[in-house]
Amino acid sequence: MTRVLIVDDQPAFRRQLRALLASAGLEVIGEADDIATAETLAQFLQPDLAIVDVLLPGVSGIEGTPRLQALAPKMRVILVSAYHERLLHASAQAVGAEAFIPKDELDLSVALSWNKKRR
Amino acid sequence: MTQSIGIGLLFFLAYPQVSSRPNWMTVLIIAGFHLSASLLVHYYLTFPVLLGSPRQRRWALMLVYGLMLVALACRLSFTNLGLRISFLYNTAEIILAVGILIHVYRRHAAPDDRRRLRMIVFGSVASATPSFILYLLPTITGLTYRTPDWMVGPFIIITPLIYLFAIVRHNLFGIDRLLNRTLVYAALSLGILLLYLGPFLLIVRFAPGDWLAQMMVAAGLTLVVGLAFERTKNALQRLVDRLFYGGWYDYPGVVEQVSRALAGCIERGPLREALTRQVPDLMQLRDSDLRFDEGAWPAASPPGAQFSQFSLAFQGRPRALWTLGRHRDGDELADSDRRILDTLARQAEIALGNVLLIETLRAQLNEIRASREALAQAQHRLLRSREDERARLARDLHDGPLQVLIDLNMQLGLLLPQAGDPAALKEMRVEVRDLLSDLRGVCVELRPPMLDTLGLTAALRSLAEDWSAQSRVAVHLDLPPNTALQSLPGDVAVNLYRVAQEALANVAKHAQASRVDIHLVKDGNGLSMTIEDDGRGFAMPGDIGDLTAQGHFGLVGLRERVISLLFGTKPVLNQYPASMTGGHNRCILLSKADFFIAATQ
Repeated sequence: MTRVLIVDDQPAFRRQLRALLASAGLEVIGEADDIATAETLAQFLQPDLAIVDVLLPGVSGIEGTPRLQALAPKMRVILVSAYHERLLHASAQAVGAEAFIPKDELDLSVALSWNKKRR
Repeated sequence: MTQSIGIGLLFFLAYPQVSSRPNWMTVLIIAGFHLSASLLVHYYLTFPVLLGSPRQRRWALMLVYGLMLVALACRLSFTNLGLRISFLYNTAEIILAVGILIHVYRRHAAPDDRRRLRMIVFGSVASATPSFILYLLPTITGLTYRTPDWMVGPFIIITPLIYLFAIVRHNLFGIDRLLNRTLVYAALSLGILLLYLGPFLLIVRFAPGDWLAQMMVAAGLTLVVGLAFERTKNALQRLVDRLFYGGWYDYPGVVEQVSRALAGCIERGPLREALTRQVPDLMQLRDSDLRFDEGAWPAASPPGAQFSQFSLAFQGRPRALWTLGRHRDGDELADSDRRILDTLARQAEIALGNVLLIETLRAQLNEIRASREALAQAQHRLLRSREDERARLARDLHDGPLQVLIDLNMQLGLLLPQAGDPAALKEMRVEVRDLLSDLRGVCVELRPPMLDTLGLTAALRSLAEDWSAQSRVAVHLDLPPNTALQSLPGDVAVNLYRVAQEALANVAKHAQASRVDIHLVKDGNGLSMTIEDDGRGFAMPGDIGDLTAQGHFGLVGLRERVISLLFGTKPVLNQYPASMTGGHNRCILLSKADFFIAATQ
């Protein structure tokens, strides 16, 4: 089972995402509302996957991705955002994230695809 | 210059021909020649520009006049050697004078001075022409006829006299003082000589060989001279001074010089200098003062007072008091002196009016500057608070309604497969997504999310891409890497972003362009942004503010932002961007460079 870390400052979104991931058969092993907390969790839990919001208070998801991957080298990172900006796709890839997905495109099929992929 | 060369030639050709008979007119002519050369050097050394330091000039003039006397003595010896020496002297003097004249004309003279110099040279040539025709021409052409000396002499003496007059008239290098002192001491020496000579002649005549008497008389006379010397000298000096300055000092000269100085006064310092230094110096008056205090002063000085007072009024109110002492020799002011001072006081009043007017204007200008600064500060605060407000609103929308819609969308996504994909739910999901998209647009408009997450470069790139896709106009970007702009203050970044946004909106609306270039350059601690399109441009009014009258607010808003940017980072209001429109083409068409923004981090 894929072990997932959710990094988002919106509790409501974290709850929804947890439900979505659960129904797709992924296990959420931690939730963080900023990069600093996420770093601690990533280091101790070594998750398989991190779903990271771009717009976070303080350090953004874009800047945070390489920091998290430095602590959990096997962890994949998916960046999400309420915004659609084209440039975010390129930026996500540039910092080593697997993909950028707008929040309104998150659905079961997307979650299922995450479950299949493994490093 | 021509005239100087002419005189030089004249010397060269005339010298071997000069009669060796020492009649008085020949002596006068020779003295005239010698004096001419020295006066020429003196004149050009001091007019219209004083060359060298006073000390250097003093030595130079002493040398020139001293050598002149030597050369004159040589010449008047009527020997061959003497002739050669004086010829050498005159040639050297002429060359020196011409050299100085050319130097002054080319290096130091103002256009006005040059015109005067040309006039002077022309006048000299004119005055030298008769002597040339009467004296030199027959000699050169080898005519047997020669104009008699007594006819030529006066013409030849005219030139040095003119220069002498000019030097005295303009008081060049204190020649008046030189003459003054010479007169005093010559008279003193003559007096002492007579004083000694008379009694001695009497003793030699009536009691020859009486050494005791001679000794007694000599001692007595020396005592008398010693006791009387200082008093006599002072009396003589006073007499000469009165001759020089008391009755006939250069009235028009004083008025002209002081008027010229007063006309240029726009500050108190020069006004004080002209009234309390220049006037007393020119008119040989004692202690002078100028007070600007407010207060009631007597309109005129009481008769017989030690001081003369002049109240200088401005707008009907006395604003300054000008005080002058007596003559330096202790004499009271004559009526003619008072008339001059009255004239000067009226001129000073006008100058004072100018000074006070300019002071008032300066004060008003400073007030205007201060209020403009305050306005810009307010504008800056307003813009900043507006941006803060927008950012807060965007954050609220993002955290609130946007999240709710995202949740709803996700719930629908989860629900749909379980419910068997009913059409009603699908439709609902489409609506939710549309709503999400609209709301997202509003949020981006309020505060571009890229600016805070990815920085200015990314935000501008994102803006350009979106705008280009929408307007179908190619945008070429030349931006520094994001890391170079990391230290940029947040409000500078957001203002630059807004400027670019507004400029692109303008291009889409008016320019009909096919290409836009955005350059952002960071050099040292400065930053400049240029946005340029190849569109049709428009005629820019002289004052950009006029655009608001025509209902165009874009550029004016931009300017406000730029000022705010500059002001927020560096409080120098007068450094508006040099040109808001035509950076490349000065013909005020907006098609080329649109905006230039310089900000200091």
